[in-house]
Amino acid sequence: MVNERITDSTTKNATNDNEVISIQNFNFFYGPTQALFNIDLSVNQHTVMALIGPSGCGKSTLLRSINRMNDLIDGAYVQGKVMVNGIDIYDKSCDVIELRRNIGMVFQKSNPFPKSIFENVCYGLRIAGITDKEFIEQSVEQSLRDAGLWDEVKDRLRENAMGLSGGQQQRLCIARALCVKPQILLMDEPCSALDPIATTKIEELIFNLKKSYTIIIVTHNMQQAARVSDFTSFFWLGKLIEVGKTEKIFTNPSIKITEDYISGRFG
Amino acid sequence: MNQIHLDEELQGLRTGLAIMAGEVERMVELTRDCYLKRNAALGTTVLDLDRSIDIHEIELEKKCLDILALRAPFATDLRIVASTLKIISELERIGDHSVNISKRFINIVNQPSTLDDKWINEIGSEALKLVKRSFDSFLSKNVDLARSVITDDDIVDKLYAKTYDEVLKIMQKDPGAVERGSHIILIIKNWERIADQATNIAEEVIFMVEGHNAKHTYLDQRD
Repeated sequence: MVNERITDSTTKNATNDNEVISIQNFNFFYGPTQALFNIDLSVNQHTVMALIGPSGCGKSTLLRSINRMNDLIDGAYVQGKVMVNGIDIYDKSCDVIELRRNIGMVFQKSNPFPKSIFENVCYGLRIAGITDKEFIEQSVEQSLRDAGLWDEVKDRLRENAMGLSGGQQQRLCIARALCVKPQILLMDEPCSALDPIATTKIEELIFNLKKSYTIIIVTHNMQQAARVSDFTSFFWLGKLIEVGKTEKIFTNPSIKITEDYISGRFG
Repeated sequence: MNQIHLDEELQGLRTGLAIMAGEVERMVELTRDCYLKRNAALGTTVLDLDRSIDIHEIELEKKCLDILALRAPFATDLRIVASTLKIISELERIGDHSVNISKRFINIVNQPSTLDDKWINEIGSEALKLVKRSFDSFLSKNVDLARSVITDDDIVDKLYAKTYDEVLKIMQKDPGAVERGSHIILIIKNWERIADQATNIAEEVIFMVEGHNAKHTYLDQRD
């Protein structure tokens, strides 16, 4: 049904000095079941790429492939390449711990540890063996500021993080990811469990964070993809159907399936 | 999002726009006929119809804003609503120009003329053709027809320039023709504007169907 993938010229230009992630002819298998087919996708530095598509289309699988979160799944294997800063992350020489430090992840449901707010944020630094108290305190404050949470929690850093609201917990998880100074942030439906006010805060945060980070976000909310991303990729049945500038995808997509999906006429 | 509701609302928008366009087309035709048939009553009917066009404009604009606010449409749906918002504005302006022309026709239609009526009727008929074709291109989503409207706008522009020159020459020779000539110059200017508005509608049809801007194509040369 779909013979060719549409990639607009602006996205093709991503193959340049600003390219941070280059996914090349990538296939992913859950044992005998192939979940992703020949994916080619580039992501530029300091941009937001939204991955959209119906449930089961492979967008989360792709997201989790970018920091090898799928490694622990029995029987799963990949073909092709995921290049981050020009290095194939599936090469045997790749340090997966360092990879995951460089590529932070925020999940659908916030998952604070049952520890204080402070200890949640500095957790990555502690397990990396950093003991410099001043450095840790500065990093925690900066990460909470970057996550837009500092003013709300600065007077209760030693309180248990489980007492924060859902939206605050999600921003805490973002602060925790930022504290180890990643280059890339992967977000898997980060607002799906949040109310509109908390969602707005996260979206504003994404807008601010892209000045310093490269962000890939999976979302089922079309308005959210339109609001926060610079580029949008549409996936269907494990294939990348269309990728382009977000304003193009949402005003004049090139492929009918993309149009049917974003305008709610899918299926 | 309930797509069945959105489809119904878009269909309602289209029907409302078709009704408004039909009434505007009737206004333009009556305006042309007012002079062609030397019937001032037709001009008066045009003035009466203007209120209905204004009501359509307000109602359709509200429907468009409701769809944008409540349905947040994307892609073709978004372009339909955006184009409709602009087309209703163009239709309302065509109605206003028809009223302007009709008012002047009512003044001069039964006065003896030293000017050639053929020019006035010709430019009116050509503008009316463009209006009809632009509406047809919208209803049938026919971009070829829309492009022909854009091309044929030149016919009206040339007729306007020719008529303007001729009327000016007559006024220069015969000071007694100045009052009537002034009316006619303003009448042909309004016909020329009606043709421009039909062209704008045709450009919106191309945007609605194909998703790219057909206006000011010289700007496409920009980086």
